[in-house]
Amino acid sequence: MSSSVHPRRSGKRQKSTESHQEMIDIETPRSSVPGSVTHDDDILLSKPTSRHTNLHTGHQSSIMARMPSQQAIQSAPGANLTRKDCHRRWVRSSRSGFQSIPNDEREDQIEDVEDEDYSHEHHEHRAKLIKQYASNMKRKREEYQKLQKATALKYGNQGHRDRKQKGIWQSVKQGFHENFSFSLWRSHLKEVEGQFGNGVLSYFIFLRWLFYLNLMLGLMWFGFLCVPEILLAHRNVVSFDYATFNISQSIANTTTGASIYCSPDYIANTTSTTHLFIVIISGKGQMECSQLFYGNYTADVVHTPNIPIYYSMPFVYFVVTLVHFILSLVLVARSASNAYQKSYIEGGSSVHQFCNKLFGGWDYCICEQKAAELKMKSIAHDMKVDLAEEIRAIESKLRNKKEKCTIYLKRILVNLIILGILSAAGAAIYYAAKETIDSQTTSASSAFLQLLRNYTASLTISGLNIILPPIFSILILYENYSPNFEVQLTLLRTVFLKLASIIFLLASLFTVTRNAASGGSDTILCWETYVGQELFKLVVVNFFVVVFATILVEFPQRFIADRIRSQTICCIPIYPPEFQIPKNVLDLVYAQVLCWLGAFYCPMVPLMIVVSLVVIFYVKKISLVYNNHPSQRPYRTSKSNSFFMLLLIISYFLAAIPVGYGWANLTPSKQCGPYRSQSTVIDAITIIVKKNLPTIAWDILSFIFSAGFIIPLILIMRIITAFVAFTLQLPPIDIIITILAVTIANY
Amino acid sequence: MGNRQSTFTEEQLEKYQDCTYFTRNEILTAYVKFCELANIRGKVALKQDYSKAMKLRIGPDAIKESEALRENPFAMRICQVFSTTERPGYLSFNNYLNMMTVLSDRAPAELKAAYAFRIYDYNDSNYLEDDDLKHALKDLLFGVDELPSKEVNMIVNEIMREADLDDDKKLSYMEFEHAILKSPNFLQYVNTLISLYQRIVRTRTFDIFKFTKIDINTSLTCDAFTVANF
Repeated sequence: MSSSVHPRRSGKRQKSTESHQEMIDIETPRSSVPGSVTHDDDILLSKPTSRHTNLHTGHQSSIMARMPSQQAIQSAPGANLTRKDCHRRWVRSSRSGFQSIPNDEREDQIEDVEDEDYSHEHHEHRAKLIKQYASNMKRKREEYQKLQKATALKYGNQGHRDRKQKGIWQSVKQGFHENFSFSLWRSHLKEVEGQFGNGVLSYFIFLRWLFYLNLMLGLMWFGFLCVPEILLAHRNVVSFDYATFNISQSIANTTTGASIYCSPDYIANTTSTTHLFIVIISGKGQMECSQLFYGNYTADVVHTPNIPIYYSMPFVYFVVTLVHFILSLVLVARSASNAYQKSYIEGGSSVHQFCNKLFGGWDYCICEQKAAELKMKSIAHDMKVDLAEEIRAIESKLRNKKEKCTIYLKRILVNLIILGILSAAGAAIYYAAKETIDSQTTSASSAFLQLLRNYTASLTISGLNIILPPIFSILILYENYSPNFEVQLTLLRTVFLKLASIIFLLASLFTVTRNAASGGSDTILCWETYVGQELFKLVVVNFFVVVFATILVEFPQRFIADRIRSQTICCIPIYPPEFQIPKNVLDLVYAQVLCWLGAFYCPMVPLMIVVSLVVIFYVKKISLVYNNHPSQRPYRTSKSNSFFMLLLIISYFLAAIPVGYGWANLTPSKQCGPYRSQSTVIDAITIIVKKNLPTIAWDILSFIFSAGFIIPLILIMRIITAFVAFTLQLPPIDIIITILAVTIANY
Repeated sequence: MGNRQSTFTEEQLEKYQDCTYFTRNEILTAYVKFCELANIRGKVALKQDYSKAMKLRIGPDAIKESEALRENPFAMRICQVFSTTERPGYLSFNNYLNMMTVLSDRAPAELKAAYAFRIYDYNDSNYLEDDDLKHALKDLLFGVDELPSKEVNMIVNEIMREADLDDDKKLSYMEFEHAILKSPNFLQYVNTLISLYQRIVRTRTFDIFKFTKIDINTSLTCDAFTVANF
């Protein structure tokens, strides 16, 4: 029997195999010999591993033996190749830290004790395989002793000593990881995961990731721009005249650098409001001339007499923004590809959803009865939902023509209505923004009214973002989709709403810049600061809306749901609040878009977002723990993760493209900012770079950025990415590359 | 050096380390936990002989009280599968350690799948048949109202349709492994609170030998973050 089952064994291995087989023959499954006295685990495994068992059943073993892979292994070169391949795979997998040795080779390699060049890694390899062996402790110890004897034969004591040394290093590393590993908010996240599951946890992990990203960016902005601006503002500044490249002495040495560099009209305008709260909230007055906004930064190369410091503010500003965008893109793309890979792996399992639920559904970490009941209920509920979907799919195939017509008509109607709503919302935002612009130059009766007028645009946007999504979720009920698809479609429409609101706001701001270029008495003097202020206001309003929506909605909801037994008030059902993951993740993505968009015009925005993220984390978590019930619906984490990452990428381009366009085509305002009196930002940078680099370098650079080089580069990159995508079977990311290239080549 | 534990020699601990995915401290913690389940206090446990320790057995009711398996619907099956002692369902320390290491988050998916197959195979036939699946479903949904039998049959049919590749109305180990290793939940969920042990070890690293009282104040958490792709 042994020869038929393992025809591929060579001579030496035959011997060990047979002894192995003998050992298995001695073992009898306990169930088949009920009366036998089996001692404690001093004897061998009572139940052989399933692999052996299956190979013993003739049916499958004959199929296995006929497989081409097995046939290949039989031949001598095949056997060597397998061993080499195994070793290579083991080395690779041990580097990544995850054991991925398939079962076949595992059994093979365990037997292979004598005939190998016995390196230290091979020893480790087999040691790892022994750990993986699905049998009891005694058996594993015996295998290990065999292994050690073989090592001792070949290498004597030295091998053992090496092992021990390596063991010390490993244990030191492990001790370090055990005692000193730091992960922000780890206890909070564990609490959330334990009580609410993976879906909600993914939201908080996303939040933490955004926190790290924004912290990095914010510190960069602060360190490279604000700190030098503060430190060097009092020195003897040497003004750099772009037009003539002359370095002339500064006009006067004053306390605030702003007053040299903003025209006198501007300063008079902005220091009129006195109320501190209004100043802070609206970003006007004293705030406007602070480091908060673009307008304050000087155009100078600062030169102090004693210590020669050349700090070219315009150049640094540009470079920091570039790094801001490129770093964000790299990090977002990296985690998007991770998320996509994970969801690709999981995507295949939609075929196996029932297997999944039954075999892998139970969470072994649960150790409280309430949680166990909840888990069981959620599994049962989930299975019912899946069954209902199957039934629904069958029914929808059986629909007759009339029903189909009515359903399609309804769907078209609902889509048209939603399109109408979105356009109306866009128009509302546009006019509100226009009102805000008007309020800059005229002033209302009271300061409070003026504040409201300032905030018109932001309040409109936030108001629409609150009101419209519930309307969408009501409208979708008429469209008769499956529940999963309903959720996705509502999410998609909310995304459109949020992105559209940003686009409309940008359109209105664009008209501002147009006006500013034309001049006149009723224009805004420093349009970049105005844009920065608008985005600043949006960030502030978004933050307050999120925090107060959580506090003011969820606490009362739970209060009412607990007290009122029938759970309806005037026929409106009040459920205990559930944590809505898509809505909250969208809020985070929206805040991040504002950060990317606003950083160039208001360099403190990333740090503000960091602070707001910290506050939102604690508010959400406390509200979650006190108010919410765990959701009954299961949440496909990785699919949603990849969707949100895709969303983040799209929003990234939505933020990056306007800024890039502004660099290339919009005239900086004449009175303020690092790029005053230049035609475009890009021109200013070109002048600076040209002045400071040797001619050769400039020639090379200008060639690289010209059309003649970029287009072949794009073509080559397309080919490469298409090839890579084809081999890895990922979606074509060359679209992203193309968009990037188009923006670069635009100027 | 004070209260040195005298049950295991260093060599024995190393051997355990070689056969499991645990570190030395975790093995000691697991041993103390095991003795607690067998109603022996931590201090006394560490002073026992090796041979005496090896003779300890814990029964299914004691195992059902441990936090790891208290609410687990498959607890009985797990005991039966991992037990290799003379009384089926009773675990020795080696069995207990084996069980803990298979259920820990360092064990690879194939090892867990091998044992999962045995756990779900209620009649020990080395195949998962309809009855096995129905039994598993009933155990899994033990705390809730019974699913109507029509739905149970539908679910079992769906599972067979999904996983049975050679159409013999039963799932062999290969088909099971093929289905289960694609499951995203499996590796993530079939983990127990080994991190619980780690946390204890972390706080008491320097007095590992002074096991006066282990206060296991648990919150329901495990270290199996699969969403850590950010």
